Amino acid sequence: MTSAGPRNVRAREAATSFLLGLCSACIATAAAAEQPADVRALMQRLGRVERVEVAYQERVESGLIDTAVGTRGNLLYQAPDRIRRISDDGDGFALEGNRMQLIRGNQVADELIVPEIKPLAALVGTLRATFAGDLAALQADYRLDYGASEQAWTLDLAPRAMALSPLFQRIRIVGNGATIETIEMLEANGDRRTLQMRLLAREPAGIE
Amino acid sequence: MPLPKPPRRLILLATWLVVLGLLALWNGFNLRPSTDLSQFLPRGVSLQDEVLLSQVRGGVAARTLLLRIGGKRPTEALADASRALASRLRNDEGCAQIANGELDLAMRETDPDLFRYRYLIGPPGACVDALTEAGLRAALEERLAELASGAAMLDKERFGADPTACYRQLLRALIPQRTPDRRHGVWFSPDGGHALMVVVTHAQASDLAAQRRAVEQIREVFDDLPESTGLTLELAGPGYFAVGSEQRIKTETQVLSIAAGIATAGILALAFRSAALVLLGMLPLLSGVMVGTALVSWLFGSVHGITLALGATLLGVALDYPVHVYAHAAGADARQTKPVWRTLLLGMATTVLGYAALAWTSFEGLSQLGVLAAAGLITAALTSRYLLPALMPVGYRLPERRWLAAFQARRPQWSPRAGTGLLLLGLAGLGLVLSIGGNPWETDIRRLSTVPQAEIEKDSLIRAQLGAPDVSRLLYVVADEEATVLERLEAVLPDLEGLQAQGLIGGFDNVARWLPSPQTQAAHRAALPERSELTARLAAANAELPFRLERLAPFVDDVDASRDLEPLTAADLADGLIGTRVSMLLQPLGDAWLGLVPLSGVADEAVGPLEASAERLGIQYLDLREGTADLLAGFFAETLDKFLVAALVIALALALALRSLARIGLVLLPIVVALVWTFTLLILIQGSVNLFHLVSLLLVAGLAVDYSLFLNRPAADEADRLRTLLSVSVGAGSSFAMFGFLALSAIPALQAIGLTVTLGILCAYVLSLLLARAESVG
Repeated sequence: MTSAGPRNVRAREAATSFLLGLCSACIATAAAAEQPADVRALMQRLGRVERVEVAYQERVESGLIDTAVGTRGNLLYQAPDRIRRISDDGDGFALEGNRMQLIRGNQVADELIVPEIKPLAALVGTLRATFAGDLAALQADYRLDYGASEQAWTLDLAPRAMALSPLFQRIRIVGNGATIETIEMLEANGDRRTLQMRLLAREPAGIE
Repeated sequence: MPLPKPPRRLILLATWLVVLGLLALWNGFNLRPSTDLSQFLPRGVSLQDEVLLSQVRGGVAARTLLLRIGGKRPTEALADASRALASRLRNDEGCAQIANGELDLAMRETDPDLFRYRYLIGPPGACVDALTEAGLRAALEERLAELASGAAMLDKERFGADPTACYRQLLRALIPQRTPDRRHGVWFSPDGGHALMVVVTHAQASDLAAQRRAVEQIREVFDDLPESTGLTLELAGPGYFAVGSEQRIKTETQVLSIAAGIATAGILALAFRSAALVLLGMLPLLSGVMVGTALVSWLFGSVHGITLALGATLLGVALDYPVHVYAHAAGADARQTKPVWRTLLLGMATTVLGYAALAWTSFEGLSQLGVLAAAGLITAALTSRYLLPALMPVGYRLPERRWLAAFQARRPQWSPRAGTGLLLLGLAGLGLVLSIGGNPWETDIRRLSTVPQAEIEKDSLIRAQLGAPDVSRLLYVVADEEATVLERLEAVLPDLEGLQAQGLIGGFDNVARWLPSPQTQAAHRAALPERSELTARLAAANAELPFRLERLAPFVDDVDASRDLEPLTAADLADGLIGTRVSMLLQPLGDAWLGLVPLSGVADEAVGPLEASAERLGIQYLDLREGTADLLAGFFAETLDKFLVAALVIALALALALRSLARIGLVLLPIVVALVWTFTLLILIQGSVNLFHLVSLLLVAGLAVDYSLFLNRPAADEADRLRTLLSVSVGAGSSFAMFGFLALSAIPALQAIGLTVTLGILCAYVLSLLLARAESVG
């Protein structure tokens, strides 16, 4: 078919917001917990989360604009594969299995099939690997660099896969215990987006 | 059996063979082998017929191969195989377009022409009309929101040149409106059992060599894939059928003709006990085919494969001529043989007149057939009469046969009254069959093909699974200028969108949606603001927004450059992203242009409104299936007329030659009864009657004329009478064996011919035996 363009655009939208969304799903503002000793321990802890709801705030710095712009909204993750991220303006997406619904003004505007769009599929794979604590899958796509202090841990993801490298130079995830606090993405073109999250609810209780 | 010894005979035989060889050579160069039945149909009687046939013959539908991959493996494996096959085929020169539901990486790149012309051809709402201050502000706000939400991340490189997302909206208009089920990123049948793919070849469906290469290439590529282990690939589509039926016809015809040849030769050998005679007996038929074919290719420029096949069928009568010659030339003196020759030539002449009636028709296929059969028959009869006797082995005597005399003695003789009774019975039966079964003519063109039913069903199934791209309903426009075609297509867009919104049609593909008429493009161009004006509007629109205007310089440059562009034409797009699609929807038709709007999911209630819009806007609505049915109905009507003329001509010729009302009655009675009975039995057995049946009936008429004339011929003595009985029986037996083998064929056309002719021979032979009166003239 001759018409890949708009789908790509949608794919890109989806891919980006998806990654942000999923990462933010792991976030909560918890009291200082003991930091995981290594990335393996971090993965195990993140993987135990079954359902999480956060309020997010995203900030974008770009060469196209003089001042940074931002959005706010809500994000919900339900294990094993459901994600819903909606901004306060009613835009976002809902993901379940292989299907992703794009939402505009609180209406389903379109539906995508994730494996059809390779970058999106790679991102989805990454995030599912993160949630499942599938370290091997994550390492297949990224070079991981983990570091922890008393207050926080930091996980740097440097893309290995061709599908991801034109998008990002680097992804940095900062958290505390089982809670992800910030995701910072440095895009290939130098633009930077930072997502900050505040925990609203999490199941099962007792994960720190 | 030694060949004739005197050199004169050898020279005669050698000359005959050399002439045959030369004719074969000439024909070899001129024969256009085509198994495509549509080519046998009339040349455009009306414009609609012409469009119809151009679509049936050469439209995209005719160049589309449908592929499906199945096997007892997980759907992921099927999807992987589909992707691997598609990626290999995309590098193949024979394939114009491959679609398996996957997004093609090559398609993600911006098409330079489409991008350059976006302000002329793109949807006005996002393009030319969005260049006002308000429009620009709205667009910039939207882009900012996308930037904030991350949606713009990958599209950002286009932002500087296209802040209104004009190109993105243009591409959106290009998305096909209906797509099949998808699993793992590729098209699947709804049950998940098969991965589906569509390949459009460059080659026409009628270019069998190229189609065969394409099909073989696809199979080879598939078999070489590591992913294809344990999976099977099935194909369908007109091109594949053409290749398949060519192969099938070739192999099956070879097998059947060898078997039929052996059987026929066996019967002849048994009757005449001479290998030389059997071999010589083939020469008149061969000569007839060669001369007839050469004459047709000289008169018409070329010969269709179907003309040749049907022509050779009609020449089946010529098989009997050598038999008559052998039976009568060996064992009778010149005084006795003279009336035999007269009967033979009379039979030939009447049949030729009948066949020649076919030549006067607007259907080129039929007129070719008439010429070929008439010329062939004359040649076969003349060579049988004048060359064969001279080539027969010297001193050849017909073997004695006791059973023949016994058969003759016990042969029942029915009165003409009984014959009339049989005729009335046959007519009553025919009336009954017709009143119960209704119209017997087969008007579904798909069943008039050389493709077995099972293949047709597979084709329909895959089409249904793909989500109905069986474009049998469409709108079309024909005009002298491309521009006029586009204007009319543009005019019908709102109506189509309305019908789609109401759910009366599932979808449509109108080229004017993304290639507006030059007039509209010029209007868009005229509405583009000047550079200074655009810069001012952009600054005003961005007044409260944070965009850096210097980053939007490419946009201002592009709009400015668009003001100098000449309107885009279909030819400009030929090599680009959508070249194939454009050439499908907008194509030359003779000296004019044809615009097509394929419709899918057309509800019955939509036909009225579609016809109304079409009429109002000067375009046409066409249902290909109904159209071809009408065309075929017309074809039958004309063919039947010709048959009536042929029948009258035959009767008249007989009347002139026989000059006796009683004898004409005696000769015609078995012929007419045989035809009525054959026709009735045919409808009873086959349910409907198609072109192949009809042409075969004409052969039956020719054979019946031959049998009836010979058996009604006044015999000189008992020996003469026995010779006649022998020649007619051997002739009928050998033809029966030959066509009996065709009746066993799985190819519908061959089976139809075989069945009709064997039934016809049976009726004609038995009825001629029963009803003929060979009164001795003493």
